[in-house]
Amino acid sequence: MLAPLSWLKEYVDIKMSPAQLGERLTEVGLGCEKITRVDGDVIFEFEITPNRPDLLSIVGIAREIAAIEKKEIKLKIKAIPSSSKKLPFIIHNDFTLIEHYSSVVISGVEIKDSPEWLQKRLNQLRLRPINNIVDITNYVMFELGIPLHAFDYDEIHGHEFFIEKAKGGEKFTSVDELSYSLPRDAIIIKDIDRIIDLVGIKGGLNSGITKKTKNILLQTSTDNPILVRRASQALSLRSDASSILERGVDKNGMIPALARTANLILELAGGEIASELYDIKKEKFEPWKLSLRIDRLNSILGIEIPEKKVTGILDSLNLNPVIDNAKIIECTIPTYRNDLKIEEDLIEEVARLYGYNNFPKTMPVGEIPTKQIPYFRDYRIDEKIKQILRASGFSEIYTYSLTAQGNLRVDNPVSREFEYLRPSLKTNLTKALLQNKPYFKEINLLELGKVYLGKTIDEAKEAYFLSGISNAKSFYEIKGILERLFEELGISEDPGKSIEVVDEGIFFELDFSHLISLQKPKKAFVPLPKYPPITEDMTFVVPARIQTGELLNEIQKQSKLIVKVTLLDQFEDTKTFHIVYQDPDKNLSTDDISPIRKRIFTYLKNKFNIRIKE
Amino acid sequence: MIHPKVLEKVKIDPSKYQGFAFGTGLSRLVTLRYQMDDLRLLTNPDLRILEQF
Repeated sequence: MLAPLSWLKEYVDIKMSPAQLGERLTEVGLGCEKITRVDGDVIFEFEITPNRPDLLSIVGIAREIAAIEKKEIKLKIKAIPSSSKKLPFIIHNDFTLIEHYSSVVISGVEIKDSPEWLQKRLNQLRLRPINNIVDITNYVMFELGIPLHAFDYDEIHGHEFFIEKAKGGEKFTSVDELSYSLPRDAIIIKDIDRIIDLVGIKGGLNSGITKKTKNILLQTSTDNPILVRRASQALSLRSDASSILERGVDKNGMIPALARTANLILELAGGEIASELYDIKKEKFEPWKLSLRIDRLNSILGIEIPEKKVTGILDSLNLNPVIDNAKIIECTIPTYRNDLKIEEDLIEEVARLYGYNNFPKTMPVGEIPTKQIPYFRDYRIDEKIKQILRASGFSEIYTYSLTAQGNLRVDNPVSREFEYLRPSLKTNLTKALLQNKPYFKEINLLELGKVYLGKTIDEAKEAYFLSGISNAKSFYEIKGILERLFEELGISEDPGKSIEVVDEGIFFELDFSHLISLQKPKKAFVPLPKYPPITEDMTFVVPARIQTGELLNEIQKQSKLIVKVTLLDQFEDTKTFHIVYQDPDKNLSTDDISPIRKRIFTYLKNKFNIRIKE
Repeated sequence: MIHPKVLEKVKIDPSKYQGFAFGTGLSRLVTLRYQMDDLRLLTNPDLRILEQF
């Protein structure tokens, strides 16, 4: 939620500096994420929690400031002027869909651009000004937190409204000219022959305000929050209106918002009120009582806040506290605070305004749990591995778990780009490399992160993968780094099969969870040999197709006395191996070695057709 | 405050016990420490950011 300082000041006096104000509001739970200075004004960016729809408005935020500063809100709303003119309009409401419906007809308006001050306000909220009528409804929505909609009255066929649930599959084109197939149970308004509104989310193109509009029906309603949320999720379509309505709008806010909007329209677009004020509801929406026991408050918060301070806080929030002899405070909750339902809610209000920073600092008491938790993970191994890769020139990145493609789709994706759980780290690493390409020649990136395997949700499995991409290192360099890493973990596997040559360079991906399971438990000391080794070098002519790794293994297998075989040198088709013989129990002689040597020659000749270099 | 219904669900008597949930992400502290104005920079793979650390 964006809030310009100059706009907040229209409703409450503010003495604090913007930085102080942002800090104080964050302290009371209205997280200030960003403060920017634009054209001589200050714009706050707040994070609004789902339980506080009232804060999705400038006046709502001004009320929090007023509570902190112990000030009154300056807000005067004139009633809608009454009128003798009566244009026909009939509404057939369903109270399970719209609990409170209100509207009024205004005739003879002139559609034009909004005045500069109004356009400026919308621009500050990053909204695009459209025309005076639409702009005013948006302005009041953000001012008071009540969504409003204006219809072209002459486009309402039969001047009759039917409020219904969609059957599913109906076509609907919104004011911004996008077509939707409606989900079942979305709330809709029909006139006598077509759907003209997707209630709580978006208005219809067929009844929207155009340059030719003369007469309008101005409407605001308390829509069923669950149905609005479901339809909005099914369509992956959220609007400023739906995010207020799905959280629960102030049921008593309809008429003041309608009056505020109608008066602004009369002032900025001309025209006159041309109908009665439709105020359709089954029951009155009364503020409710909620009591708070002082001893309960103290026991929950663990500190004693003076009674006067408690009532002062509750009073600053317009909760009308009255204290009786039994130390019970009875509050009357205004309808815009529908998050306050139980005693604990009031305790939280007191605590956050008292200030969490004012609670004394105490050490936790009791035993510290030492039992290993089931989801325990030893991050030291992660650190060790990352350290090796970092020392080899890699930079670690963290990317999102959601991608555009995959098998496991999430139910309510925020967008097409983040629709599936990633089965590999490859896509994101490649993207990250491309993102860096304009600025860097040599890019080496690594990620250790969760991937989501399996084709269906039933066989889905989470695993950690360790992957990297490089456009600077060769296949062999990467292989060397991974060998070093395997050695560190005590794993005797060939990392070569996990390395892939891709368009952007070299990519590797290791199943980290699996690797960890292969890890040798603990290193144990092997006593140093008492007797000296015998070493010799052998040069063979080796056909190109034979892998060196395989030869090293095969040579070593020929005798227990061979403790180490390495490739010493290679040139064209010849390879020289360095062989170390050693016996832990005695000194070796040439007589011990020569049968082994013979066995190596014979074996290599028979198996690989390799001969000794003459 | 943890809603008493949540405590009931995990079989804790809310008339005897209460819960207090709070927290701040490590990333938030990091942004303060390094005077960064946007949390999302920490998950941006731009090497021009990463190489500063």
